[in-house]
Amino acid sequence: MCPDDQDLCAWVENQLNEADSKKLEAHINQCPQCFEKAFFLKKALLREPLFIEGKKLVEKIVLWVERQNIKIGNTIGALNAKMSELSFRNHDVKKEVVLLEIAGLKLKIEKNGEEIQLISEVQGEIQIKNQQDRIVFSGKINAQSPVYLKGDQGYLIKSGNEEIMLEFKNV
Amino acid sequence: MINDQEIKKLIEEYQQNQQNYPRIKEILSELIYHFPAIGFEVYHEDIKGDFYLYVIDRLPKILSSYQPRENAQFKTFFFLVLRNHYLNFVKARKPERKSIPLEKDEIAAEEKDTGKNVDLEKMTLLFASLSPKYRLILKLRCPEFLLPEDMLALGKEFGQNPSELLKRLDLILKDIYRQEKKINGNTGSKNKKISLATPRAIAEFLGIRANLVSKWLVEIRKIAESQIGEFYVS
Repeated sequence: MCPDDQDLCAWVENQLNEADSKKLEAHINQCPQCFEKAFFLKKALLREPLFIEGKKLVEKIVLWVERQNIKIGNTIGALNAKMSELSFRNHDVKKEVVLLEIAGLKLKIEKNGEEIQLISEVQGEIQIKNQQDRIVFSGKINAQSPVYLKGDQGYLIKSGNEEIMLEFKNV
Repeated sequence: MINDQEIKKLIEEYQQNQQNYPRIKEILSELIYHFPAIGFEVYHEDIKGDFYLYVIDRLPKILSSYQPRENAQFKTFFFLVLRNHYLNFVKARKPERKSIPLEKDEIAAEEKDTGKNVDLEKMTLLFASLSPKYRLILKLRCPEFLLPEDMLALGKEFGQNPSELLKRLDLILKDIYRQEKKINGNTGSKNKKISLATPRAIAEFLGIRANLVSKWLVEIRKIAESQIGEFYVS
């Protein structure tokens, strides 16, 4: 009988006692399915730091807009996100504005009632998809032509080769 | 990096009172998004995005059914869960393939390509002509492409239990990934340079002497030179 997945995980992490470890090893030497799972885990755990540690943070920033404030993680404020760093420009900001940089394009995200407004200081090309993968905007954005989004959805904003996932909740 | 204690505590609280979901999702988002690349070397951004949404839809159920164990990290368990979901995701999105006859110019292009691929063909023939042991040694030079069946074959060829080899997999992969990180930065891309495992790393992995591996590599080079005149794997 195949071991339970958590036992296999514990074995991969060298956390099983000697007796259990030997028993499990005897099994995976005979069971290609369990061997494949263990091989997969071992490789994935070794590969993970290539993608996660110091990874393009901006690629997967999730912005939570809750009640009156824009919250990112536990911090409230305006955000200036770049490829490899994330800094909060003003921790006490009351205005619901987030500044975001994607592929060199500075975007200002403002909450206006039930809507989210996206503005760029300079003209730039963006594409926005919603979570059902429907393209809701594709084209140029600038200060004169902001993009309006519904505040209850998540959006994937793409500029150049960079993408940012924005999620708005309970706006 | 995911803090195991923190995530387990958050999930436990989520299971009790349905709280913390945004925080849990925030912690796991990056891992979910990059999982196709981490686990299956799939780098396409659309696929990564679609898989992210696929998992997010199912995340509450995954979290509700998780039973924390002290001797296994949540992340490791989550990798297995993501693996299963990824296989289902691929199955679900597989489009129906229709066979379309090739146009004349496409046939010509294919023939032209075949001409360009003579080197690749030669390499394939060379690979097929090598003994199983040498084939495996060559595969170990690029350990990133090792498959579970290669590990089983290595166990058989070198008289070792596959589980023992699996325990030593990090000896050969850690160094490769370190080299890759140095060369490519954080990869996230399929267009990366590939690093080769050193004879020493291969020897440590197999539990044999390094000079033996070097000797085999020299022999493989000789065979290759006699067959294709030029050696492509340095």
